[in-house]
Amino acid sequence: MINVSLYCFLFSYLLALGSESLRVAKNHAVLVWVSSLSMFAGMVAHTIYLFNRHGETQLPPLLSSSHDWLLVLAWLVAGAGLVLTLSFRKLAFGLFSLPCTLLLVFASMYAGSSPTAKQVEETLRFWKILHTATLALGFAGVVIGLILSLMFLIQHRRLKQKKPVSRDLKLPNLESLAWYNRWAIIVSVPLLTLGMGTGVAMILYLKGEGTKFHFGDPVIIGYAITWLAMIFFFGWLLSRTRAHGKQVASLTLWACGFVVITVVGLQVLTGAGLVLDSWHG
Amino acid sequence: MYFRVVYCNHESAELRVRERLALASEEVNTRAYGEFRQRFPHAEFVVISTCNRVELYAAAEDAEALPSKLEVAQVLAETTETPLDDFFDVLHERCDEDAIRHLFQVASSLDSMVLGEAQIVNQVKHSYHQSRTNNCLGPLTHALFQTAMRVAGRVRTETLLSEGKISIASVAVGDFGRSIFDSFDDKKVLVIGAGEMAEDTLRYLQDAGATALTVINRSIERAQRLSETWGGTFAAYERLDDYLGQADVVVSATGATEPIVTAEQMKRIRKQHGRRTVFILDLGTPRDISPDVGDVDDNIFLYDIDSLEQTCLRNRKKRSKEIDKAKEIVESSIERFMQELHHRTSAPIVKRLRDEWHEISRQELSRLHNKLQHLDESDLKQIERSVERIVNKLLHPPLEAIRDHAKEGPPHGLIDTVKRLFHLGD
Repeated sequence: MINVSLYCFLFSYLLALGSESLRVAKNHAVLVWVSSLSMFAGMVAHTIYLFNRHGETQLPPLLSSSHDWLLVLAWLVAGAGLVLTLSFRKLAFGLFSLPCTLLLVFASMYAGSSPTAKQVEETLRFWKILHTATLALGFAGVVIGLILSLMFLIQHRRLKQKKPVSRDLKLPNLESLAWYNRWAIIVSVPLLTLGMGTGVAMILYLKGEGTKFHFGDPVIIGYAITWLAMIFFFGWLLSRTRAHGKQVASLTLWACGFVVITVVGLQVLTGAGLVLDSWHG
Repeated sequence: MYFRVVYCNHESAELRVRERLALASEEVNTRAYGEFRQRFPHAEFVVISTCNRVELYAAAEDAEALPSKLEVAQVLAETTETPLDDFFDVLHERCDEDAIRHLFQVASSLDSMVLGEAQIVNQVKHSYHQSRTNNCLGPLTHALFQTAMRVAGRVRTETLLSEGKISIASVAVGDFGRSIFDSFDDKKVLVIGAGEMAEDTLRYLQDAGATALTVINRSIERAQRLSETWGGTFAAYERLDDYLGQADVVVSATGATEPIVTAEQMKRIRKQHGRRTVFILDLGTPRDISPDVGDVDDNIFLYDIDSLEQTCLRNRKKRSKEIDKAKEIVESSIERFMQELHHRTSAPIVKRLRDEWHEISRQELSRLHNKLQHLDESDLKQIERSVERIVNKLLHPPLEAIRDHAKEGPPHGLIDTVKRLFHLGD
């Protein structure tokens, strides 16, 4: 087993972000390579770290702890960023995806890392994996929506101010950004709903058996609020077929920003067990 | 022979100033030519008025016959009804060789916002014809503009300036349009105007994939002709609002002297048709679309010619090598043109000197012929040829000296000396 610490990929991602930032001033081929290789190295270290955690806890990372769950989420966002950076070298995806990845990695450092899933019956294992996996994918969609909406607003501002396209680092066009933004929400909300639904079903099942699981937990309440916010936004998005791009992007930024801050905040606040007391991992 | 150009262009004046000075309509143009002709009867004039420049070229045999910068500005102020103070500071002036250099650079698109654009040659040609129609063209401006067009041709064929994005439309669509839309194949394109600029834009948009093209023009026949050429449809000018409400891309390039689309009008259209994303490109000078139309809502992206300044500047930097090559062509052409010009100054005196000496030789030969009656025809021919050779040999050094001198500048001093030496008088 290769010994990899969290700092290995944290610094790799930081280096990648540094080179991506330098690319704004001058898109030199060396910087593209440094950025891509750093991101790739970070992904490799990140994967090994998660694999090692699995070995330590004997649980899939999604089930073991909030720490691991946030790292899986960060891994998904970093992976999406790497694929897009390699596919569109002139586009500034890394500049937007890496801060989100780093935020999630930083947050994982403060989230609870002790395994909790062993408390769950083996019969519920499948449902818990479904619950955490759909929530992780749904939140990854939310983070991607946040990134896309931010890109849209920056591009929109540039076009309104009639500033020329940066020769070195470009942003995708508004039409594509609006389209991907819309689909990021359309895909992530059903996943979040499925995650929430399985969570509620598990609580109802376990509550009947007289365990400590209940709906009054701050994490459950926080998740429910963010899910409701996304449902409301989702409904609005589907009902307004003629809603214009900037309006959608602004609302996405607010909604997804709220979701990300709430989810990451809850994980951190419950992680140390000092501020909020929660049974939820 | 003296030349002067008084001008303002995209570098010296903002679009809001240029559009006020633009001699956009035929009527204003004719009025300006009339004023120049009346006030400066011994000078020749050509006015170039395009979206990026308003320039007056004047030429005369005497420097006093040329209008000064202030006098040109006064005529422009009166014909366009623009206060002199609003634009006098943005006017530039160049004289003689500098004025010629300026025209050559303008004609070969070195001074254009979009380097390598082909439209400017046609605009220079059009200005030349307008000057002729208005009886303001003379031998000097004729020679100057003909040479300018030849220089433009050389620059186009001998450099790579005309490669890539070489029209305002291509720069605007490439830089801004493609940042708004992913593709143009599913977009409704409305072109307002049926002139060269409109056609140029249609060509580029079609190359970019646009298929749903509609042309609207005040003259429906021209709209029809243009739409048929480019495989689009046409509509009556009265239906402009309807089409504006449905279009994704609007390109306006009319010769209107007032905005044809105002913010109030656009608000009404958006209320009726919805707030779809629309990319509006206003290529008119004066502007066709009121600038506040861009503020009506977030989905309107309005660009005019000045919005492209920064992009064009960047493209220019990328092609600095080709610019250097083009400038070499311009400089060599100026040198040749100046020589021809100076040669024109000395040509009458050369002709007079030659004619006078040959006349003297003819008179002497005739006298000799009367005295020596016994000589036969072939002897006389031999003598005539010898005398002619002697005259030519004697003429050669002074004529050669004048020609050599003309390469460096107008040989006024030498001409005066020759006149005095050989009693040629004025």
